[in-house]
Amino acid sequence: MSTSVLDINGLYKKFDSSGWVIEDCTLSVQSGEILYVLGPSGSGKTTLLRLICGFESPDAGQIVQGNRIISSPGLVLPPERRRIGMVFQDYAIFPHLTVRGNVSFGLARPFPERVLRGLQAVLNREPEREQPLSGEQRQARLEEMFKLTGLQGLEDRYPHELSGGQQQRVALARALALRPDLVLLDEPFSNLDTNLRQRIREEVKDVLKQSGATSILVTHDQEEAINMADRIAVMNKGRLEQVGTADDLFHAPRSRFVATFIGLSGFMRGEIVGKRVRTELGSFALPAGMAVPPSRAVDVLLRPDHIEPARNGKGTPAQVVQTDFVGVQTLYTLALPSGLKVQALFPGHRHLVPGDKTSIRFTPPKLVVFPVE
Amino acid sequence: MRHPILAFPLRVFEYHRPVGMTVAGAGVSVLMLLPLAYIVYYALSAGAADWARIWSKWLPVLLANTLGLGAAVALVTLLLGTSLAWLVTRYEFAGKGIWSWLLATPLGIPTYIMAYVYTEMFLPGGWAQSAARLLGGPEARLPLLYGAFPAVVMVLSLATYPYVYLLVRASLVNHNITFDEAAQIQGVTRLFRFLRITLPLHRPAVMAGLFLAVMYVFADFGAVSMMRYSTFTRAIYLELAGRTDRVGASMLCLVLIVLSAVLFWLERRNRSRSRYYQTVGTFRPVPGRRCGWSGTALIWSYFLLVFGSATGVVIAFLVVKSVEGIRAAGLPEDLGSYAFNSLFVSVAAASAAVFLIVPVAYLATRYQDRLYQFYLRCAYAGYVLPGPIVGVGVLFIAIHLFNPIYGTAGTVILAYLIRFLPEGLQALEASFQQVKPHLEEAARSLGSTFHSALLRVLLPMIRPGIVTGWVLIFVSSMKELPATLLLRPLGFDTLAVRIWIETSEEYYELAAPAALLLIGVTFPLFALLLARTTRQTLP
Ligand SMILES: Nc1ncnc2c1ncn2[C@@H]1O[C@H](COP(=O)(O)OP(=O)(O)OP(=O)(O)O)[C@@H](O)[C@H]1O
Ligand SMILES: [Mg+2]
Repeated sequence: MSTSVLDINGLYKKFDSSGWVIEDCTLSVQSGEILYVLGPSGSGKTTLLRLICGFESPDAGQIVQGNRIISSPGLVLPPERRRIGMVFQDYAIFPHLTVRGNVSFGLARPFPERVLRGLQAVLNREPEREQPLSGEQRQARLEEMFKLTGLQGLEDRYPHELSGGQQQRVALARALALRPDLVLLDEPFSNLDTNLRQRIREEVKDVLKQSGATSILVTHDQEEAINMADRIAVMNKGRLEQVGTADDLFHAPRSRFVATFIGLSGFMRGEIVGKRVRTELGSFALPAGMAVPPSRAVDVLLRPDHIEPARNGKGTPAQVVQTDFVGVQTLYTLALPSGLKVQALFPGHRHLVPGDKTSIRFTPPKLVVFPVE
Repeated sequence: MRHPILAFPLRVFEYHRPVGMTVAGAGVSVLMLLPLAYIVYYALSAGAADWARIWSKWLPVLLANTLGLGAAVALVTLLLGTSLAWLVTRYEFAGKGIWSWLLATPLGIPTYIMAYVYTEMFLPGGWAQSAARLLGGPEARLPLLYGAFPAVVMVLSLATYPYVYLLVRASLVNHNITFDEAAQIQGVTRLFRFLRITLPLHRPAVMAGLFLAVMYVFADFGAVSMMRYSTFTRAIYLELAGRTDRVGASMLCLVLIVLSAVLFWLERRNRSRSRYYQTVGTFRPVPGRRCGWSGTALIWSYFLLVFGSATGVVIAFLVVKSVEGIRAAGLPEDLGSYAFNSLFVSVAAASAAVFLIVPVAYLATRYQDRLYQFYLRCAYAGYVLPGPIVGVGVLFIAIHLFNPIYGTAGTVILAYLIRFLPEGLQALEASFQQVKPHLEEAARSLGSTFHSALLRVLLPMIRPGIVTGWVLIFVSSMKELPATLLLRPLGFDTLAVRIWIETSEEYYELAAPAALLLIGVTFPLFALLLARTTRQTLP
């Protein structure tokens, strides 16, 4: 049973009278996991990270790290006293320092600063944020970080002499060097070009897993989140719509937003008759515990993966409207007799062209329905 | 069938070396290097006896005075400039916008006018002496300012702190708060964030400002002379005025050139390291801290003190003295003709300079060519030539090389041209760099010839740079004193010369209308430039 590193309870935040930017967020981050916050632009992801760091103070709710409340309205532990690391979206690598200077920024503090920090820790009756390291330990830690992030040989370069991917790794090494309880990465791959992105992503995932760090990453790219995350928190207009594994989100989305945001999707009108849902593609058992809306009308989620060609002429007739190749499979857009268009993924060897007639079956592992809005 | 290769060399030749501009650029280089060459030639032709004389008469004291003054002014401008910039950028208070402009205004006042006003105020019967009597009783007396080191330091610091203030302000405004947050998340507290992030990030701007201030001090002639404090520039002038041979002056010039060149070299090095300090990515400025009543009052009093003693008191003095003088004796006759002379030489110099700068800036920014980079270096050489040195150099040119202009206003124009061409060049180089060569190439691809592409595409786009360059040179020429004094034909008085003559004959009141007129003409243009640079440096 893993323990939680950070707990966010009922967090609210707004900047001005324009409404909540973060609304009733509750989230628990487990030790060692890679948690993704996924949401469209402007949904409040950065704000959530800045709240966790302590750069913003919440209007309601609290953030708990270990057994300490580190943020609550009006009471915010300053960022420098949290054991949290951050990789900024534009990396924020100090331009006046070399790679070594950047990575060792928090490790090798000037003597007066060390003294003052010690004093502060005593006055605040809290443990020092990080164990003071001896010179050799510090050196060893630095070497370890350079090795982990593959920065060996670049230690004495200045930031302007590094590529985007290398700068990224410096930022990551700098954040991890202090062995924080939690590392936050804000859209870490958005500044990289597409070719590089795939590779760097794998590297960062390896580094995070190897260092055993617990991390929260933020993105608006669902494919990245699905590939990288242990768990994903989907954010929409400041609310966390659902938190779960990619599989959960795909197969059991709890809201329309999650259903459309993750994976390809379409909807089909259905009618509740008894304990079943009757649709154009057949009749299916109503999911257990589903509240029946008064109108008895529902929308059924269609995933292209769950539509199959029907064998020996059974199933619903459909006409091919459009075909798109997606690797080994082909994505077909099909028109049903009612005129509804649905998308279906068929193996690539079925050669259908627009105009062809075929028949299909809908075979969801688990039916997902939403009340009609 | 025509042979296709014939057309090829022509195209390449035109593309690589535009003939007309290459010749013009060579002309500019020669023009800029000639005075320097003459001075070095004469200085090196000096015998041991000359060096001994110069050494015993001048050098130790000049070196001590000039370097001491430079160091002291650097210290004071550092304190004034950085503290003012910090307050203006990091705090929110009523009147912030107007103050941030007012604090830069001392740059628009010629230093020698500031020196003249202060000297006069400390003369018996002057404002400062009256104030002292008012506060300390009838026996109270303040010392005269002649030769007083602290007074010279104060006047020059009040005149030059805006260099530090403006550069540091621009740097602080562009400070990206993400760096502070990145340090904070690394567990660094506020004091150490200041020491480890803010300080190193803005040090280049501070240094650049200090270099400008010290360069100004090295080159200043008017203020130190009016306050009778001997630095190199004053000694060069005295050497020239008192002797028939010009070897001594050349030797002093050479030493001063070496000093300025060292400073210039240091500044370039500082700048090349700081080029990469600009932030990339998302920029978030540092939010200013709100000031209450007491904080605002404190800031206002500090600003009022600095602004009052730099710009305020000077303008007030000039207005009062001018009004008094005109009441008593009417408008000084000939003021109009002095103003006309000033305008005439300044407009001529600025216009000629802009014509010469365009080819140099164009070639240097458009071609990766050693020759053109060399042109650029030569043109910037004028930066290490303070006024009296240019005066001496142009005198040599007029006597030995191009006699027809000797004793005419042409020498004055030539001196301004050489002295201030670098200022204009800097403005134009920047605006050339902002225009991508693709635009001219697009015009060429649409069938424009090389020259028509320049006229129709490039020139309209760099017009702001040309205007800025012209105004810079014009304003500087209007204020120029030492070269004008050395070179002007008999009876050809400019406003600056008039101020000098009246003050050196101790008719201090008579200088006021000319000074006020000079500031009145140049200040609006200076304000225009200031607004432009502010718009460029503020996001
Ligand atoms: N300091 C602030 N003051 C006022 N409003 C803010 C501030 N910071 C963020 N906002 C607003 O809060 C909302 C959420 O912003 P946030 O930056 O958290 O979104 P995001 O999910 O990170 O978006 P993106 O993917 O574009 O980075 C936006 O509407 C934004 O305008
Ligand atoms: Mg964001």
